[in-house]
Amino acid sequence: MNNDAILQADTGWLILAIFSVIWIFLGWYLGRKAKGLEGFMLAGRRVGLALGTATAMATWVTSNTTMAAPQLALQMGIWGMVGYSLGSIGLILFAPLAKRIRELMPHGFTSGDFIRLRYGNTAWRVFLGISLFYAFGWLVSLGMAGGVLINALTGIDYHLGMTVILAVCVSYTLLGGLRAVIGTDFLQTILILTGLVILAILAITNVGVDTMHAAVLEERPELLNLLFPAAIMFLFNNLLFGIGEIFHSNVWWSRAFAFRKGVGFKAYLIAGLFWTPVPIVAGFLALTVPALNINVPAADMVGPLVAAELLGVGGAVLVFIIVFSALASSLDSLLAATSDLVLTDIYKGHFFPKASEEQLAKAARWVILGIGVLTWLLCWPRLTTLAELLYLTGAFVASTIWPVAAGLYWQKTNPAGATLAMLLGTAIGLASYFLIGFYVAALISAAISMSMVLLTTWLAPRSFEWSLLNTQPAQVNGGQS
Amino acid sequence: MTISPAALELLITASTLLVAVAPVILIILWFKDRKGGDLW
Repeated sequence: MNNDAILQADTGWLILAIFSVIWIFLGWYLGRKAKGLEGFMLAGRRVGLALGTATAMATWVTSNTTMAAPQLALQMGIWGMVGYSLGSIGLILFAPLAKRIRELMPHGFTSGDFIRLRYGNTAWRVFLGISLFYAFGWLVSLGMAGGVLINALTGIDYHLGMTVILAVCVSYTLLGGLRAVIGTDFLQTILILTGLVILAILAITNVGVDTMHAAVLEERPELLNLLFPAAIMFLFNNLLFGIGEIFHSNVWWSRAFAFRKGVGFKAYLIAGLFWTPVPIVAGFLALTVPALNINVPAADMVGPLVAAELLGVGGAVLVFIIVFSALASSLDSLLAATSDLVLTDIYKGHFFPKASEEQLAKAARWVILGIGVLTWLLCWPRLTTLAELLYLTGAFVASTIWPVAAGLYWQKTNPAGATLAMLLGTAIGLASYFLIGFYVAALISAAISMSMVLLTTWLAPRSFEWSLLNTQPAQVNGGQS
Repeated sequence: MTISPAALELLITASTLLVAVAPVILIILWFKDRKGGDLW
């Protein structure tokens, strides 16, 4: 139990119960019209602009945005939150890619489909390793964030809170597939953004920017320093990390496949523009810590603690709802997209290439359940802080930026170069994570990967026929074991 | 080089305004899609 909790455990359980019922009911209600495997996995490929924009925003506004942004502001000051906000560049840059993906692969299912068809089986397997490691890293960070938040605010045991949040997301994703995920994302986006604005306005009016500035300047002047070296490096690292996460992850590719024709570009562009200020609004709350004289026992709890200090029980309830929505909107998306990747690229691609649509539809549910259980097991020991866990995966994902982007636009990029770029980028990025710090892993990984793609394309150009990407699902999924 | 209180205020206020506008735009888009039969 956490004796410093602001809410009573009973209140916490009540909020958990209300929102759990809402999300599961909505998941069932929205998902009941999903027909067939394509309906379950890709919402029938007919998602419109409003739902498309909201799901891109909600998925990218994670518990890491609402909890790690204040944490980073507390550790790195202005550049911590501004650097986090540059995560939106990934969404904005993915807008033209989403359009091209939809045009080149109108029948595609996963990002793995693209890598296999574009670069062959070796690159595909390396990519799958990176993608799945990242997906589980993100899933675990989200599950852990759920447990941490619930414990910090209500005193409910970390393991119980984490279990409830995972169980709810698995339940409604199982019931409604991507339709349930996208439908609930819309409501969750409205809740998150409205809640954040309320908190920000109350923080500005209760503390005041001048008081906040003066208190930080007195106690932690480095947080207001615009030339804070580690923070500036973090800014560029985070930019590349965000681009790597979005360019490679099936979370974003599955949406590019699921959106109506002509929607992808606009949806990702609008979502990126509206996402940009979110980490600043969530992050600046941490700058009120010196003015409010709050004792912060763990850096990743700073957001909820500030909200509770500012607004008492109401603030704690509000931040609980915001982060529960942020967690659910990302967890469900990641569960659905990861299960698509496991189902299409591992289950069918490697083990059951002749599986029928009915068999795949049945297996999809088991895969979602299995991923949920595995995530729960990995979340059980709370091993590291949220930001550290998240940034370990930066070395992996940043190595995929160039193979993906070059693969979509350059005919001459060759498979060996793409594979080497991912392997070397990841290895050297990881080494820099441990030897230098978490804030350089993505930066170095992306630089190595870029060098490899450019060098190998220049040394050994190979022509690729774009029409090979436009294959029917039966051919797409016929990978070799 | 330290950020001034005025610059910090501008950064926070502008960000908050943008976040406040986003849900309104999303709801308008939702009604537009719904009317045109383009929601799903």
